[in-house]
This record gives sequence, C-alpha cells and structure tokens, in this order.
Amino acid sequence: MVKKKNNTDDSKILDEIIFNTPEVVSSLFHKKKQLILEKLIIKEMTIYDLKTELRMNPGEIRRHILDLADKGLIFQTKTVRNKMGMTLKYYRAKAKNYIVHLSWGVQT
Amino acid sequence: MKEDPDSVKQDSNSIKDYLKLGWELYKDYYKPLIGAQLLALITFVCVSLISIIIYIIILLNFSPLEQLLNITDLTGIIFLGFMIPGLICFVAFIGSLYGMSNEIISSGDYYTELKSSFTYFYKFWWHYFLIALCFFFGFLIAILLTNYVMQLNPAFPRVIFLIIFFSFLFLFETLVFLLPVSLTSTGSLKNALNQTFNLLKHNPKVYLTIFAIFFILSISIDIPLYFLIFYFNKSIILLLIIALLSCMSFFIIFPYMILVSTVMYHSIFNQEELNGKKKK
Repeated sequence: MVKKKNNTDDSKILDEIIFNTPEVVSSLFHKKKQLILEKLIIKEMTIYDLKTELRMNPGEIRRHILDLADKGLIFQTKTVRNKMGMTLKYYRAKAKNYIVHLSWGVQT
Repeated sequence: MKEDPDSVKQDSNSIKDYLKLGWELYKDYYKPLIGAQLLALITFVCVSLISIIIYIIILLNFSPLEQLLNITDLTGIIFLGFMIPGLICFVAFIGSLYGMSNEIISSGDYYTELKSSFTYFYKFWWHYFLIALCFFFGFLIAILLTNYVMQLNPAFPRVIFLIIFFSFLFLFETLVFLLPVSLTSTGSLKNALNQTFNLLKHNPKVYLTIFAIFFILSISIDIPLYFLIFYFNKSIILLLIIALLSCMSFFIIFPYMILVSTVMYHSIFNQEELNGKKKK
C-alpha cells in the first residue's frame, strides 16, 4: 500500500492511497460500501448519521464499516456523547482517492 | 470521551424527543428485540414442559394416580416450585431487552443483536428475576392494602380507594420498571437502586409524565382485553382481536417503553453530568 501526502486543508485525510494487494478489491468495488465511503470522504460521520442519509439498516452499515476499517480504508476519528446521551463513534475515509494496481495473467 | 459541544448550549430534552428517539430505535431494532421476546416465550414453554414432565413422573412414583385428579394445596405449591426455572428463563430474557437497549445507546456503534440477549441473560439473570418479583409484589401489596382499607372501613368512598390503589401501583411500578435500566448501566443492584431513587427524585416531572402516558396506554389496551375475554361470547374474530391486542402490547409497547426509559436515563444522566461540569 502506497500513501501520498495530503495537500489540501483537511489534514485528516490523504489525497490518495495506492493498493497493490487483492484483499481490498471486494470492499472497494462493493456498491453499498462505495456509498458509505463517498460520504466518509466528504466528512466524518457516525453510523446513526449514515443511516439517516443513506436510509440503510444500521446493522448493515455497521457490518460494512467494520469491513472497511479492517481493510484500512476508513478509521475511527473520535467518540462523542450527543445531547440525548447517546455515545457515537465517528468514522472518516483514509483518503480521497483509492487506486488499485493489480495485474493478473498466465506467464508464458 | 469528548462531549458534544452543542449539548452544553442546549436545554434539557423534551418528553417528545424521548418518545421520538425511542420510536426511531424501535423501528431500527425491532427484529432483535422481538427475537429476544420470542426466545423468552420459547424457553419458558420448553423449560416449563420439562419441569411438568419431571413433576408428573415424581407424582406418579410417589403417590397414587388418583391424586393427579384431585390436586391438593401442597401439590399445587410444589407445582409452582417446578414452574420457577421456566419463569426465571422468561424474565431473564425479557430483562435482556434492557441490556440490548443500553447497548444501542452506549456502545458507540448504535447497534445490538439477538446474540447480546444471551450475554445479558448470563450476566444479570438473577437480578432481573428479583426485580420481576418486586414488580409482582407491588401488585400484591396494592391489592392487599386496598383490601385492608376496605375491611377497616367499608364506608370508605370507592373513588378515593381506587385513586390510592392506582397511585401506589403507578409510583411503585415506575420505580421498579426503571431499576433494570440503571442496573445494566452500573452493573450493581445497590448502585442502581440509589441512582433510580435520585433520578426519580430530581426529575419527577419527566419520569412520571412518560410513565403516565405508558400507564394510560397499557390500561387502554388491557381493560378492553379484560372485557373481551370475560364478558363476551368467544368467536374466532374476537379471539383474533384479543391475540392482536396482546401481541401489540407485548411486542410493540413493552420494548418501546424499555427503549424510551433507556433513552431518558442516558439523556438525563448526561445532562446532570454536564450541569455538574458547568457548576465546577
């Protein structure tokens, strides 16, 4: 995995990450995970926020979030208690762009 | 953990907020919650059946067969004893709803699953059973007290008698209903008792208003149910209505009440912590 430094104001996330391992492919090209990643590239969000914006089941969102974090595509930024006393974890994408460099074939 | 800066500026939440968030949580997590309730019913039936079979085997081996048809008081009490394991399973799984609600609010991931009910069952089963006993004794004390008052003075106006009965029942059951909320949060029965007393003492308006809403809601379902069962001829349609009302009360109103209580507990507790910080 190759990381490129961020040149924008937002110091929290990188400009791009280049992957050359096949493990991330299934997560990166999963439609619902892409939807979640798109939101997390823009700003940090909680599962509750994502549920409200994407109108998806929170259990399903959590499953995708755990997978994305496990693959190193997102990270947890902070834990906050809101005005209703609910403890909420915030997540953010690690980079604005994800590039995959992979080749497959039979050597002749 | 950081505190949300907005929360310091905001006033305490309104009853409408609690009810709204409670309903939202119910809509998101009705499946694991109802799953835990079904688990409670299934384990109750299975464990009770096993207990009844053991009871019958013992009865057949130690006393004549005729005794089965003429159950004495003693065998009745023993039978009740055999039902206790089933009741413990039922109450503990129902109690795990409190744990699951607590998990949604305090885990940080806004999440719970049916598997969690086993964790809370294992952790708090005897606490939940003890609290359920208190809940039952509340009813018993209310009935005994009112009977005693009526016997003492038969001329005592029935309206006042009913007001005393329902007031005592309402206050006592509100306290007992809230107890498992702080129990799952603090992990100790003693701390939970202290905390519930304090929360109720400092926020009587919010707690009592919410529970009054639920009390009226429960009564408005249970009283027609009572009349339907005892005073009308039983037809299939009527039985369906009874089943529907019972399911509504058990699978919707009850978990919703638990969710609202948990939301209320965390919100008020959070607000008190913030107020404490502000004063400092």
